[in-house]
Amino acid sequence: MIKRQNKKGQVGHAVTWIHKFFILVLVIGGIVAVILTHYSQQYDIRNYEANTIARKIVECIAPEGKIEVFSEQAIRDCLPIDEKEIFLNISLGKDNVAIGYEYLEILCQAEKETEVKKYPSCLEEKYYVLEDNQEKELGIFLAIRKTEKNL
Amino acid sequence: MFKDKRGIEIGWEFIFNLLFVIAIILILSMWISSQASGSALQKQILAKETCLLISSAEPETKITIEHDKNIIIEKSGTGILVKQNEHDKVGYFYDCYLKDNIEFSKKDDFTIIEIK
Repeated sequence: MIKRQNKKGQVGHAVTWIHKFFILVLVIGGIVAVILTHYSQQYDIRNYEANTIARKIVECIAPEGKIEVFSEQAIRDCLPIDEKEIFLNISLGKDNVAIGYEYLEILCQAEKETEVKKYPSCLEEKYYVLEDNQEKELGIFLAIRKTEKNL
Repeated sequence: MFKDKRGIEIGWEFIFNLLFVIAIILILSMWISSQASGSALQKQILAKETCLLISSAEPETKITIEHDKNIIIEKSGTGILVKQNEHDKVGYFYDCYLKDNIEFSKKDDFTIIEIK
């Protein structure tokens, strides 16, 4: 009889330990969560990044405003592009070159109508350049994801 | 005799609990102080500012960055890696579309970046 009561007591003791451990995890988890949200602030630089990338591409494919070669390879040679994080669409007259993750363009359009939580940074710019001494419009659409490091 | 055994048992349990709680408090306070000192934020800002500086710089440019003596700013693949000191194994990495024409060198509390 005494042994059985001891067993029950041991089980009860173990249960109180689970309870204590649960409260400990809850308290520590709370402290960690509060500190993480307070101190792990991210600075979003994607707008500046998009502007510099667009300018670099224009300077690269059209030095001094004159288009030398307009091709996908010529654009790829300008700077290393991480295709999972960037979508680039460049148009020159009727020609068009698209590089990267196309889904980002859809997110950019969606952002105009609805609120997207992890939104990409979107940039649309137009330049006027010369190709064979003819003025042409160079359109650049750029979307940068990089949400983990900026949002 | 029985009472003594129980007492010793409770004593050991108390010591174990005390050590456990002290260890948790120590780890937490160390982690909080490292977060609150802003070292993570400092690395992030340094990496991103350096990235913007490099990507907007013209060729044949030399950029000199003054920083804490222990901080290491280096090129890692196409990005920038900032470490708090040489023991910081992970550091903060930011992809920055870097090409092979960029060289990093460190001299005391300066990092010199040459764009060729």
